[in-house]
Amino acid sequence: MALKQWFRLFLFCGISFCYHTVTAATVPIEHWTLSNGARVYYVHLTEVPMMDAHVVFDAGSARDDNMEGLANFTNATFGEGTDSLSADEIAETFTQLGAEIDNSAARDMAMIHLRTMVKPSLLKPSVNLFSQLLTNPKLPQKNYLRIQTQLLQSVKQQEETPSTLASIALFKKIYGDTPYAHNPLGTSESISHINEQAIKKFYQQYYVGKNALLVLVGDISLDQAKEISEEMVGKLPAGEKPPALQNSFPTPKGEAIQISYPASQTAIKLGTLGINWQNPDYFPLLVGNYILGGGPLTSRLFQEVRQARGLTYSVNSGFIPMKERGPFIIALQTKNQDVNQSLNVIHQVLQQYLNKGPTPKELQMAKKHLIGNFPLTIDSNTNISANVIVIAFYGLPLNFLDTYREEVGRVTKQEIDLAFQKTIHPETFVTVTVGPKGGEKQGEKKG
Amino acid sequence: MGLRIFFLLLCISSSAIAALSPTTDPSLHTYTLKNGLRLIVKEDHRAPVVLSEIWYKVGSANETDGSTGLAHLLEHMMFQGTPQYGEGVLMNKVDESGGEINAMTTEDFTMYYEKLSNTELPLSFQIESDRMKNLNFNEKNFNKEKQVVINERKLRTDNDPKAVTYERLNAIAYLNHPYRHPVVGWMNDLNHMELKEAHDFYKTWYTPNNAVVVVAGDVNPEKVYELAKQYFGPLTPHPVPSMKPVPLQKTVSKKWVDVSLPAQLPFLFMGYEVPSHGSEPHSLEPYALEVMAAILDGDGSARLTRHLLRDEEIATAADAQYSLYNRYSGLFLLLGIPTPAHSIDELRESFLKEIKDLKTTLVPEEELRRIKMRLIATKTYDKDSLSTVAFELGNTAILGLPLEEVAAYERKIQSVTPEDIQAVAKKYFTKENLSVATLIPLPTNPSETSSTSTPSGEFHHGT
Repeated sequence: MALKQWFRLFLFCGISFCYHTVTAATVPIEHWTLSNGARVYYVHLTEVPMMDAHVVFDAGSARDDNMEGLANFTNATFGEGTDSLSADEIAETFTQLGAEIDNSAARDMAMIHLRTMVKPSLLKPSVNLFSQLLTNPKLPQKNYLRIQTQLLQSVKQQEETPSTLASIALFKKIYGDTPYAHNPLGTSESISHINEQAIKKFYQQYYVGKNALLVLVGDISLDQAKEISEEMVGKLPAGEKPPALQNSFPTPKGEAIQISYPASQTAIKLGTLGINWQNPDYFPLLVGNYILGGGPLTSRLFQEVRQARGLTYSVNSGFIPMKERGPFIIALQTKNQDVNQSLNVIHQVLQQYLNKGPTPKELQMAKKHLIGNFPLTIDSNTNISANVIVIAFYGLPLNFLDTYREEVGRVTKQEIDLAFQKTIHPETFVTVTVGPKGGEKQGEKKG
Repeated sequence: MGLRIFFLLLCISSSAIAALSPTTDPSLHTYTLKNGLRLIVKEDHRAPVVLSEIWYKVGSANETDGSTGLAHLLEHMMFQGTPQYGEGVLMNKVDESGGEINAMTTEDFTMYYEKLSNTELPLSFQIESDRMKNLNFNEKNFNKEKQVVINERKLRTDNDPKAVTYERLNAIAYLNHPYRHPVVGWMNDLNHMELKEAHDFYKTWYTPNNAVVVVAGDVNPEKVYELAKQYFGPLTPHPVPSMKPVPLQKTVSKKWVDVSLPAQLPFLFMGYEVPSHGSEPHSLEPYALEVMAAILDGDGSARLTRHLLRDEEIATAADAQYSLYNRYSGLFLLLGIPTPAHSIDELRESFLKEIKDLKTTLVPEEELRRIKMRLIATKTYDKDSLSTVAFELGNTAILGLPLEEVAAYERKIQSVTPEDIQAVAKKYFTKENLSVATLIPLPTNPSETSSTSTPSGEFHHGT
C-alpha cells in the first residue's frame, strides 16, 4: 500500500531520487491474439521460478467520461468477490499459493497483476482463481462502500502532499476539458457520486477481450503460456474496442497558479503539452531531455539549481508520452524564500537550452549514457514486464528493443534543437506553486 | 609528502589474504583483504550488468547530540570530489559509462553504489577506493550541500505530518538509545553543522577495516578479487572506535505524544521495543517477530486487513512493521488511519485487541502455514532484483552476522511455532513497553488563490 512506500522513502535518504527511463527490452517477444480479440505478449525468462502476468485495459481515467475517478474505482474493486468466494477467501487462497495480486489505474491504462510461483501445484490454481475474478466478479454492497471510504481518504492523503497537489492542478490547467485533465483518483465529490451501477457498466464496457492485452513474463514454456493466456483472458467477452481519444488539444495558456498550503517548503511544477508515443521526435527529445533535466545527477537543471546553488534536493524534467499528447514537466521543491530565484534559474537554463541546444560533449555523453544504461533497464523480470507493457499498449514495433540503442546513437544536435523548438514553448507553460501565499515573508530565516 | 608515504604503504599491504567461507551457495564468494576490507561476490549471469556497493559500518546511530545528521551530510559530501576527480567528475564518468550512482544512509550504515555494465566494474572500485581516503572538504561545497540537505529534510519530514509524528515517536520511545534522533538530523543541528565535524567523522569511520564491498552480477569472482586487491588493497587501515552496548531499555511506563499539525487525516503510531537479529544474533525471537508481523500484515489475508479494514471497517490503512536486520533493538510498529466514522482511540483499541489475541490464543497451524508460504515465496520473488539480493548480503555482513544467515532464512522461518509467537507477544507487547504517537490534524485548506496569465515571452514568475 501507499503507506509502505512512504515509509521506505522516509528511512533511506539517498542523495537523489532515482529516475529511470522506461524503454524496451532486447528480449524476443512472442505475440498472438486470442479469438475474443485479447492480445498476448510473452517473454520466456528462466532465471527465477516465477511468472508475472499483467492484464492491461485501455480503461484509465481518460475513459472516465464525466465521472472523475470511475476508471480507478472500477479497477479498485478487483478481487472483492465471485459467486462462491468472499474477499477473505480470495485473499487467503492467493496467500496459500504464495501468489500476489495488485491492481492500479492511471490516465491511459488500468492494470491487474498476478505474480506466482511456477510449480504447477501453485501456478494452476492461481491462474484459475485469477480467471474467475476477472470473468465473473461480484461486488457486495458492503465492499463497495468500504472501497468508497478508502478512496475518499486517499483524496485527503493527496491533499496533504504538496507535490501531488501541484501535479493535479497542472494536469487540470494543461488539459482543460479534455480527458487527461482528470485526477485518476477522482475528487471527493465525484467519488461520492459513483454508484455500483456505473462501476458495473464501466467494467462490462471496458474489461473485454478486444480492449485487453496480457503480458506474460517468466519461467513458463510457450505451450504453457498459450494455455495460461486462454485461461486468464480468453474467457472475457469480446466486446468492443473503445473509440480513439480526443487528439487535438487547445494550446495551454501561460499561467502561474499559487495553491496556498502551510509549509516551509514550496513544491513547484511547470509544464505544458508534450508528445505521444508515436511522435517521430521521440528519440531526439529523449536524448535532449536527458541533458536538460533527465540525468539525475548530471543534468543542466541539476547542475544549476542544486549543485551550484543548493536551492533544492531534487530537480528534474521529463516528457511523459501517452496515447495522446502527454505533458512535459519540470519538478522541484525549494524553501519558500527561494521560489523566485529557483524559477528564474530554471527559465534561464531552459531558454538557453532552447536557443543554443546541447554542446557536442553533452550530446556525446548523454548518448553514451543512454546506450550504456540500456542493459540496466532490462535486467529483471519486473523491468522487462514494464517495458513490454509499454510496447504492447502503445503499439510500438516489437523490435523497438532491438533498435533502441541504434536510434539513440543516430540522434544529432540539429534534431534535438529542432524538436525542442517545435515542442517546447515557454509562453505556454503552466507554473504551479504549492506553499504559503507570499512565501517570501513566511519563509524561514537562514540559520 | 603525505601522498608519497601513502603510496609506499600501498605496496606493503597489497598482498591480501583470501578466505573462502563455507557457504552452501556456489554463486557466493567471500574474501577479506589484509587491511580488513571484506569483499562479497554474488554471481548472477542474467544480464551483462554489475551492481557494486560499498557499505560503511557507520550511520546516524554513531552520532552524538548536537551533531545529528552528520553521517548523512557526509554521504552528500562524498559526491563533491577528490583531488583526482574534481567536483562532478565522478558523476559524469559513471553517467557516461551508462551507469547509475547513488547512496543511502540509515541508522546503522552508509552505503554507496554504482550499477554498471559488467565491463565497467573497475570504474566503481576506482571511485570508491579514491573517495574512501582522499575526499575534498571545502567550506563552499559544504555550505551548499548543507542547504541541499535542509531542503531534503523539509521535503521528506517537515512537509509530511506523518513523518514528523514518526520522528516524535522515536524521540520518546528511545530514551537512552542511538535510534532516538532522525537519520537526516534535527534542523537546528543541520543549521549549525561545521565542516570540521564532517571531516573528523570521515577520518574516524571511513577506513577499509570498517567497510564491506558487495559485488553482484555477471562477473568472475576471482577477477573481482584481483581488482579489489589492486584498488582497495593499498589503503591503510586504522582502528575505529568501538560502540558501547545498547541493551533493551528498561521501561517503567508507557510513553505518549500527541502531534498537532496541519493535515487532512489523523494518524496513529504504536511502537513496542523488541530485539532484532543484530541485537540477538543467536536467538530465534527475531524470526518469531518476523512471522508475527506477517500474520498481522502483508497482504489481503493478513489479520489487520481482514479485521480492521474489512470486518470492523475501523481503519482505511492498518500496518505492522518489523525490521529483522537492525543493529540494535528497534520498534515493532503498528500504524494506521482510522475511517471517518472512528477515532484514533478506537483504532488503538483494535490494535491492542489483535495483540491480546496473539497473547491468549495460539495461531492456528493452517494460518501459520499460509503465512510461511507467503514469506518464502517473497524470498523467491526477491531474487528478481539484483539490488534486493545485494542488499541482504551487505546488511547481514555489516551487522557482523555470518552470511549463512541469508540462506538460513527459510529454515528459521519454518521452525517458528505457534508457541514461539505467543511467547514473544507475551514478553514484549506489554503496556510498559509501548510508545504511542498520534497525529491530530489542524486544518490545511489547500485552495487556489491566484491564477494569472503571464504575458507571452515573459518567463519570470512574479517579480
